Amino acid sequence: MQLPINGETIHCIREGEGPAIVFLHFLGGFSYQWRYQIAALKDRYTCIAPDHRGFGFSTFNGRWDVPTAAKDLKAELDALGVKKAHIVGYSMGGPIALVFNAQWPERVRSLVLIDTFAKNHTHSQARVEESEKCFRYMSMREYARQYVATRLLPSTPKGAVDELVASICLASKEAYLDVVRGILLPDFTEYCSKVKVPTLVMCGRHDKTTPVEFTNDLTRLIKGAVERVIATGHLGVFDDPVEFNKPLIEFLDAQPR
Amino acid sequence: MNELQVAEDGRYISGDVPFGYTLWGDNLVEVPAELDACVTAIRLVKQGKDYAHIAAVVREEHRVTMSKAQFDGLMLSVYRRYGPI
Repeated sequence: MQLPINGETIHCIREGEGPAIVFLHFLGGFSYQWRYQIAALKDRYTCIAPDHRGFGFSTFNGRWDVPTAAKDLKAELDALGVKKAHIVGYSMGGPIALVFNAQWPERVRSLVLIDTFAKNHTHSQARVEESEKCFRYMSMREYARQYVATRLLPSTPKGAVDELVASICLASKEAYLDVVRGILLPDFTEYCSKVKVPTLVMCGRHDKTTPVEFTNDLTRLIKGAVERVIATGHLGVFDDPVEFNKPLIEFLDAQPR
Repeated sequence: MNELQVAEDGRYISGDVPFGYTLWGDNLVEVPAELDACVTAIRLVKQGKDYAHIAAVVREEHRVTMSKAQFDGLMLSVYRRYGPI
């Protein structure tokens, strides 16, 4: 479905019946990458997966930053009539989930933060500047091909590699750069203390983008958070969807309905 | 190594032309075989292979020569963009 949200047209998937789960995709992804999770959960949950503005099949008329993305999420839930949801934030979806929770805690049943961070402290300014320079002459496809080569495990199926490249190519350069700036430079640590709901923090053992130490930070900063480390890289949803689903589904099913 | 300088509109200003591109006027134009070699090189670095091995593989698979300086330039840019591999 298409939702008119804050000056954008947001593409959103809604499947199943039951307590709502909102899936917030990673940088360069879109709702389609949640299909294995939706397939596993839609018999007992309402699964909602929006494409962030500028990604997938959503428009990009304005700008992107985390507070704007959190407002988009609020408006999406309002438009869908969802009062409260489990929020699953993957990589760039993590800061969105944290800021959303801080602003509208009454709308959050639980949080799942996957391969993400409160503060990204890996040469963030240099990463922003190099990405800005490369986007001036590189096509999105080449940027994506090189990114994917750095991130997926050697064992990841070729089809997943091609899918991720195609997915990143759906994004506009402007949106992509807005996100790089918007998630790498700010510090979201203060939002962690606002989390009062059950929280799962999970991470791939081989994740070099948001390494296990970032997950350890989140676990330390969020009171009562449960941490799970799985045998994948940053993009476990591609590396091994079965391994990826186990802790996610176990956690969600353990929450009160 | 001379740092690449590129104008806001993508036009080449100065510095080393990145591996995978060639200069045409003041534009950087894609060289597909070299860009394929870039992806292969990154994958092999991720597998722990060294430059000598990687240079041999890209020569064999893509019929291109990647100098040590070009390899270092590529990996520096990749590291800056995406962080550790």
